[in-house]
Amino acid sequence: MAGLGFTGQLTLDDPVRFDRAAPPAAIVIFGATGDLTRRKLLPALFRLAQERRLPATFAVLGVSRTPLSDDLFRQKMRESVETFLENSPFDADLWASFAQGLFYLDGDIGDPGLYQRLSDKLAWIETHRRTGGNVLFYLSTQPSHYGPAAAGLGAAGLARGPRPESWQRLLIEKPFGHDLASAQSLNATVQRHFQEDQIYRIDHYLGKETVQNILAFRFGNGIFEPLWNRRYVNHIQITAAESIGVEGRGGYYQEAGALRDMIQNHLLQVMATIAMEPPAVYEPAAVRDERAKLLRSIRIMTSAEAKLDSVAGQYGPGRAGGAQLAGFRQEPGVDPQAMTDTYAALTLFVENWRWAGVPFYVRSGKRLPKRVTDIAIQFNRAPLSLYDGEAAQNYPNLLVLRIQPEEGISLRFFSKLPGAGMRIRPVTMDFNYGTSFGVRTPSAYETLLLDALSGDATLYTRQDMVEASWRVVEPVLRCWQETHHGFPNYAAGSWGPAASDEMLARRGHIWRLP
Amino acid sequence: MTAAAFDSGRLLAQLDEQWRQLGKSETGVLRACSMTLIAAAGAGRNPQELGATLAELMREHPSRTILLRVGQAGAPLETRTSIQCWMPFGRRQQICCEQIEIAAGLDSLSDVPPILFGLIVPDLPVALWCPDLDLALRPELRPVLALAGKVIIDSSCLPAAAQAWQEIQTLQGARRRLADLVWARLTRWRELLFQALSGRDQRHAPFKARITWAGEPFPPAAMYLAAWLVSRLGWQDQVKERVELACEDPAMPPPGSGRLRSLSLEGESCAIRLRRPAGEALAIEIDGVSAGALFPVFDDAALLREELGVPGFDQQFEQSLTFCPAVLEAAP
Repeated sequence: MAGLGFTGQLTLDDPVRFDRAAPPAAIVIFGATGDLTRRKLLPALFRLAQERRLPATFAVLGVSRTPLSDDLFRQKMRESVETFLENSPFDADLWASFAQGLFYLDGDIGDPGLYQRLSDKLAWIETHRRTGGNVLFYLSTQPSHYGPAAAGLGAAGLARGPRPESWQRLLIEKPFGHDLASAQSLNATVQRHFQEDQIYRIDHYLGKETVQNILAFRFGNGIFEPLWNRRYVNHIQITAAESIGVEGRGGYYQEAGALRDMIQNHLLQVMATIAMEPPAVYEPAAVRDERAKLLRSIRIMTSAEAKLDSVAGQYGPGRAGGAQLAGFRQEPGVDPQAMTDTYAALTLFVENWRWAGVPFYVRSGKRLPKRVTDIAIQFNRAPLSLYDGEAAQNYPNLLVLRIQPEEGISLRFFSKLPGAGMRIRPVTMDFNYGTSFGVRTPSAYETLLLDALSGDATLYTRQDMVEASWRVVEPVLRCWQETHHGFPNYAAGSWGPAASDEMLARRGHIWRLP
Repeated sequence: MTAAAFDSGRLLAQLDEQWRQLGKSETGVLRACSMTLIAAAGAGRNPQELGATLAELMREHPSRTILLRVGQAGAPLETRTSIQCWMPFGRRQQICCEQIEIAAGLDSLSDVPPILFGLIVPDLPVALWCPDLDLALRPELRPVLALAGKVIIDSSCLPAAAQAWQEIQTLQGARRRLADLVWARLTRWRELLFQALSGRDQRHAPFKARITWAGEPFPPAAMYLAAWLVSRLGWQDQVKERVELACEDPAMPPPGSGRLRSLSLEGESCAIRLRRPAGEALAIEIDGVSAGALFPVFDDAALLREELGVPGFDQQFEQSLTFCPAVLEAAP
């Protein structure tokens, strides 16, 4: 029968025309009154509803300690959506329909009674909203609650659905541990109750449209991949710079630091996306296998290498845009003697045939001159320069994949200067993602929520990937613990510590100014 | 004026000069082009509305637009070139596309294809939008139809599905893809139905459908929707038994507001009803659960945006077309 898929399910789908939509389901958000829910999750869900990506049979059940009625929860969420909805006006009629599917349950994550009440409420929702018994549990709580929540859900039988065809998934926010041992311990706890294929570890960087575009750029075009190797690539720089400081998150940040907060997860995932081998098919397992393989191929530094190939920094007071900026240790909630890295830079090597010997320079920092995330692939110079002049020597071909804020791709190459004589000058060919398509790109949370609801784990990290990333950064963390850093070692508003420039200079390279 | 006096080389040179002038602006411009879009419209079309539709399209589908306006016999052959720009919010660079307007009388229409041939952007797709069906059927424009990889019509200008079907058959060609904006208007209905049935297996499949509309006679939209259901649900041998087709209000609604009123599906454990009485809202009822959805009336620009986003073979449209004759037989 034409309308039946391989699973015997009706398939009226028209992928050429229909936007991908979530199946009937309930999302249970633990930490429903928290910042992430208010700022990101509910606006993203509302946007999905606005764009017809959520079915009429859909429900959101907020769980938090604060006692609230369903109506009060709806009211609070409406205020949040009105405030944080980006790039589109708030539609009151649509909200009225969307809000019918919002529910609330108060309770303590450590209380076993909560899970029985949760089970009853989900059964009620299934009957009244026809969610098909499908549930996505979203842990938007403190990381210390991940284990107890998974255990509570498991003990109450909520990790298994009421029917064989229904699904239960557990979505966990980062950080996944604070080192390898704690990551392994968290994985073990969660996996006692949920199978690995039920667990979705979110790294919102992977949900960014332009990070996904890296895959399209690499594997959708035939002309770049032949150049994507040690023969043509001189080195790669990955930069994630923030102009802001810790913005009230001083307490959390001083425990984490730039290496744990940005590089261990986001930037290593970006690096894996840039450097991985082409998957045989574009399917979650195949893509994640290649990413994991790449992460496992990153050379683990010895302690001697860690000293040379890593740089920690912390910003001190400085000036930017005519304003005086406080140093990290002067930020509210931060220990005045804190040894936290607000800047981290690493030189990494991938030990495989494609990348052997090519340095990957990765850096991330706070209070840098601008907010920018990009990847710069610097190609080797022409083997013989026919043209004189400094330009020909100093500006080798460069391919820059910009992730934020101006998503796009630019290629630097040489062009002849107009007029007589043969002088050349570097020029760039630019592709701007937003302006070239003229349409709003979905937020990372919209993409990732829809993926999790649809069972597509391509952009989620897997246990082996998390552990491989921790293995990469652990020698650096150990080295830094044993080192006395002369913090602060860079001024707010500058491009980081001088040692970072020296790290590249040892291999004859310099950081770009993005 | 003969075609020679309006050779494409001269028009392209004019455009080059306009680009050069624009390039001197301080902000700089980005010349964007992903296809050649030919829009052929009759004299009855409001030129401002046409212009606005094409300008709207350039954001998502930047193209060299060739607007062919066909007037009465004796109308002079005239051409005009221009560059349309827009400044994306928060950016400093304008994005610009080129537009060529050709005005021709019915008697000089045969002079137009040779000019058009020289104006096509090499190596990129060519789409032809022909909002006036009678114009698409004119023999003088056949060479232009042959040139286009995709021909987009709007059969809603014909009240009767039977007549629309005849003309669609005439326009179908071996190498080109035919698209109908009436089909694009159905996307929202089809998508909601897909979502409502999502995850159900054969045991919960519907066995009967009912489609209602406003305005006599049986409209092209209802024909396509019924044909799609027949095609997707495997009802090809039982169209009459499975699909009930009924006019629920003989008064013709205003043009562009849509004539479909409801779609209901029934099965042993399946009851789905989508109802759109009027306006921009749609009531959904799935197995007793009620919800509402926005159902905006899409203008030509929105429908064309969707069609131009389907570059290749539109399998479901093509499959549905094969069942239109059976649906027409079952129609009242």
